[in-house]
Amino acid sequence: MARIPAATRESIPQDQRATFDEIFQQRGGNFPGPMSIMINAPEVAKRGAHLSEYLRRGSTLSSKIQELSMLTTARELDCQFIWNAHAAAGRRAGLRNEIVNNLRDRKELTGLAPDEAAVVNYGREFFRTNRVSQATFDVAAAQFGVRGLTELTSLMGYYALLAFNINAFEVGLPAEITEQALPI
Amino acid sequence: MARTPAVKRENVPEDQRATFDEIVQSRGGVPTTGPASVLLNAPEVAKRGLDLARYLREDTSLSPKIRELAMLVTAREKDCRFIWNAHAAYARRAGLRDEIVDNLRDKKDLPRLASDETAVVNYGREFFRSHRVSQATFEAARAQFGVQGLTELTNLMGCYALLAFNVNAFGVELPAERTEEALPI
Repeated sequence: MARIPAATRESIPQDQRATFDEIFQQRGGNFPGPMSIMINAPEVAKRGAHLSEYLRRGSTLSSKIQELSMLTTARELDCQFIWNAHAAAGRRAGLRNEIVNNLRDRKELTGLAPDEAAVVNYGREFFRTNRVSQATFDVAAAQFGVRGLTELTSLMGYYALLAFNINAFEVGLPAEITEQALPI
Repeated sequence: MARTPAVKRENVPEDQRATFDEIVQSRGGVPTTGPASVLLNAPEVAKRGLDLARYLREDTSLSPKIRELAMLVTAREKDCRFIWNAHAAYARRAGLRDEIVDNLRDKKDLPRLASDETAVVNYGREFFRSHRVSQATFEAARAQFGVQGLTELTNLMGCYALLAFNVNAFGVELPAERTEEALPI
C-alpha cells in the first residue's frame, strides 16, 4: 500500500475536476505507478504526461537508449518501481541480459557499446556529483548530437522526478512481477 | 560560455520550427542563458517542460514563500548556481528571512524555521540525499500541505532538479548582472 489512499474524483479540488475527468477518460480510469500520485494534482499529471509523451515517442533516441537511460536513473535513485517497469522492456529493446543484470546488482559493466557507455557515464556522473565532466559530455554529444543529448538529459530528469513521486509516497510494485527486484 | 552554442532556427528539426518560433516570440528572442537555452535544442521538450515548470512555479496551492524555498533547497542540493541566483532574491521578497537564505546557501546550520519551512527543507534533503523520505518527514509535510500540496511540492522539486540537470550538464553560465552572492559549490 502506498502512503496515501487512491485519489477519487471527490478527493480532487473542485476547480481541477474537469482536468481529472479528462485524464480519467483518456486512460480508462487507470492510474498506474507515478500517475497514481500525480493525479492528486490533475494539472501536474496532465502537463507531466504531455512532456513524457514526447520524451518517449517523439525523441530521436532509440528505444534501447531510452530504456537504458530509465534503468540507469532507476538504479541511481533506488527506484524499484521504475526498474521493474523497464527491465524487461530494456531486454526486449536489445540490451544484453548481462548489462541489465549487472546494472541491477551494481556489478561492473563490461563490453558496453559506445552509445551505451555514453548514457551510463552521463547519468551516473550527474546523479552522483551534480555535474558532468567535459569528456563525458563530449562523448555523449558525439553519440547523440545536441538535440539527442537534450532529449536524453530531460528523459533522465523526468524519470528522476517520477522516482521522487514513487519513493516519497511509497508506491508499491505491481502484484505480478517477472523481474528480480532491484536490491536497495 | 556554455558547452553548446545558442540554438539557431536552422539547427532545429523542421517539424519543430513552429514550436521554436512560438517560444522565441514569447520570450522576445532566443534564450541565451538558463534552462530554456538548453531545452530549446528540442523545442517540444522546451515547450512541454517549461509549461510544467511554469504551472508548478506560479499556479499551485503552495504559497510563494514555500515555492521559492523548495526551489532553493533543490538548487542547493543539486549544486545549481543558475537556479540559486534566479530565485534567492525572489525568496527574500516572498518572506523568507535573509538568515535562512544565506545559511542555506553557505551550508550552515539553519536558524529556527517556521514549521512549513522545516517540512520543505527536510522533505527535499531526505529525498535528494537518500532517495527516500522517512515516515515522520512525510507525515509532517502532508500535515502542512495536504495531499494535493505535497504532490505539487514533490513535482516542483523534481522539475527543478530536471532543470538543474540541463543547466549543470550543459555548463550554462550565470547572467552577467546579478545581485546575489554565488552559491558556493
